[in-house]
Amino acid sequence: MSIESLVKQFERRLVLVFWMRTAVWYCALWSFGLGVGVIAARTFVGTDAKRLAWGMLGFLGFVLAAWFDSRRQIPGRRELLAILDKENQAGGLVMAGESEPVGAWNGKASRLTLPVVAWDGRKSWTSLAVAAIFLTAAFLVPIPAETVRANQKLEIGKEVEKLEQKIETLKEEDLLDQKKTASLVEALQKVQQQAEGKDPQKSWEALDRIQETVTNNAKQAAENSVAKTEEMAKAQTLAEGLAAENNQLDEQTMNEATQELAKLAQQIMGQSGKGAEALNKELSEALKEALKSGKLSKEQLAELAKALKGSKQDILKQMDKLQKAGLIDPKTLKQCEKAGQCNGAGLAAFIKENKGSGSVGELMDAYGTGGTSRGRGDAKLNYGDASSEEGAKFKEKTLSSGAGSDLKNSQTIAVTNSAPQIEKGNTARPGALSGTQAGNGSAFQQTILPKHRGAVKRYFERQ
Amino acid sequence: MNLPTPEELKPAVQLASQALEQLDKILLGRTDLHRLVLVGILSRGHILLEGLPGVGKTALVKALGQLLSLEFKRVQFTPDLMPSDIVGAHILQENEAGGRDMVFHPGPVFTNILLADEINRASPKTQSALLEAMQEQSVTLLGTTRMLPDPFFVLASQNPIELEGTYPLPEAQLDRFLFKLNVTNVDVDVLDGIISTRRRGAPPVPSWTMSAENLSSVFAMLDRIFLPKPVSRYIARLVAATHPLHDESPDDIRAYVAYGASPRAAIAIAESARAVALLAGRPTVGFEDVKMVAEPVLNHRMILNYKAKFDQITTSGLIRNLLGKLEETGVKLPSDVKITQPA
Repeated sequence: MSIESLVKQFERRLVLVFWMRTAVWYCALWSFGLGVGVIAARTFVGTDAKRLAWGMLGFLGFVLAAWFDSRRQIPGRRELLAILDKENQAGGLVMAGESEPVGAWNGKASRLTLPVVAWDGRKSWTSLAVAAIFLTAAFLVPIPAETVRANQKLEIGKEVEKLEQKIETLKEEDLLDQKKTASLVEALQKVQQQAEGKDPQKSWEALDRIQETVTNNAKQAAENSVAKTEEMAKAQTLAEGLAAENNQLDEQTMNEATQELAKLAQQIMGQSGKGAEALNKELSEALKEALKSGKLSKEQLAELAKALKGSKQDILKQMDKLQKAGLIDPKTLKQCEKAGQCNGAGLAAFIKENKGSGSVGELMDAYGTGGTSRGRGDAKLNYGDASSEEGAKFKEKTLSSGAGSDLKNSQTIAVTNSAPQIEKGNTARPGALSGTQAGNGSAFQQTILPKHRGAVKRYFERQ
Repeated sequence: MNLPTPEELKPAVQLASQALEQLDKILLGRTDLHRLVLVGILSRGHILLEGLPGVGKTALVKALGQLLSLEFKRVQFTPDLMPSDIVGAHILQENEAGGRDMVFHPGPVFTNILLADEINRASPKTQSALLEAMQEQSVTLLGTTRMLPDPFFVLASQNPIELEGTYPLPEAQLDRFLFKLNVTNVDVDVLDGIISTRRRGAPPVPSWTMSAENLSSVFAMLDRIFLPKPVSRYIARLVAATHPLHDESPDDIRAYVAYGASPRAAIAIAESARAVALLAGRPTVGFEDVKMVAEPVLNHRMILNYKAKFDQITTSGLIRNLLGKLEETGVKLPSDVKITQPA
């Protein structure tokens, strides 16, 4: 083997050993670094471990960097020759070959052997193994959700966005004035800015309060709408009944009914909102006149019925919009739809049939409740003392929209043996001593820990 | 400069080997010492032999003088020895015309091989008479410089015991010796051989001698022995590392050495390593040649501090440790990577 090829082979061996050695060290260091990073990211940022697994690609980069570094560590040609000379005990012949023609001494040089490059990699491999275990643990160890939340900003963007949409819907429908809208939006932004993971209850409670305000507004609006729709339906029914060509009401009843209709229409007009916009100026004047004279032409009655129907539709549309925005429930919408149903001809027949049994207004109230001859549908409701609602009425509480999914996605990580944290001033008392006064410290109070539950259960089961 | 071919090198190697063989025949059981003495001679260096009385120091030098067929003179150093007793003196002499002239009478230093026996018994003044002769190979007296014959070697001996009434050689004087060789006692077999083969211990007369011409041819060949750059670098690093403040110095040298070796030591190692390579039949100097001569070259050039004397540390021990720790090639491999020969 010539000296030249010997040097090349020796260099290759050195590169290989240095590469492996450096790569193992680099990978061990990267494993430690990545492990620390993974734990930090999972703990403080709450990053998903699967996303962090992309960091494993760093190993490829480090193996590549180790290659370049190992090339840099290789001694120069003169040093390589010196090592070969020394290991072969060539007495300087190999080294001399670099600057002097060796000539006849070449034969001696050709008997050279390639030295072994031995790497004691126990320390390096151990370090890599420890680092790999650490990295694996960093990926797999469960991070308590409280720890994650406490160190990051509370993510309430979606909730805030939903609430903003609701507020915007109410604003569009003129159910919220500008000032109130601005204050609600400002409060939302403040909550979002100050939302912190370490105290999520505060933020959730604030959001709940805003949600409650918004929902209450919507509910109030819905209730008003239902009432208004009922009023309109009543007026529409009467107007349709009076406008019908084949109604056989006498003039007196007709006048009385027209006056009742005008009264109803005036009431609707007196209210703000969609119903008031329905009637034009001419019709309003005619209704004022009709209130005195009880006269309205059939065309005017038809026009009135049409106008009332149109405004009722508008209210229904508004209610539908509120329901879609999640501000009212479908039941309220259905209630509103039901309130808007009319049967003019039926009402006219009912008034004719029951003429003299009451005023037109009373007959209208009785219509649809079973009639005067069938049961007590027409009977007046006499209210006594109001019954107490205490203990019977549920206090409605609106959960945040995300609460449901949070519960669904939550999982039990561990059951602690430690005592549950109890807020100050709200200390639970043992059942047997509930309501008793602690007298001079003589009452023994024992906190039941979760780990004692089994024993307590068995105690009560023995018979 | 081309390397000598094997054919060119062979005669010189044979001459050197033959000289070594004769020395081994004359004095039994000291092959390594003979090799080093011959290396010192081939390197044209002066040698200081240190040993107890009767171990064969003088006999070795006398045998060398006989072997090399060179002029040999012996001076027994005593406290009353004067410089003029060594270098010579001007004496008043009557000339042919009846007048009187101051005529230079050369001392025993005017020879090829000077045996300075028990050199440490002479006063420093007399010891110093040898300084110029050893370094410049000349003697200056009353303003006249006279060259000494070529080659010129001083082979001195000294006794490490009976130090009362002796004058330790000054560092400047010691530095001029190429080697300081310790002549130790021989083992039982060698003693037995001496008693049984030598009548009254008298060594045999050499059966072969090396002429001045032969010696010159060996010297000429020695000049052609190639010193590779990594080896010269190693010698330089080795000598530098004997200094306590050098980067590559081991801890014990930092702790126990007051002064390291001089540049003359590096030159001495390079020259003597060439001679070792020649004796081994090689045209180039290797790391192992340097290691062989490092101890005799450095051991009298390193000055230890009082702590070393207190801890009974010797220069030989320090040098052996240094040779073990200093990487010959200068390549700093990671501690867990080793280069070895295949089994």
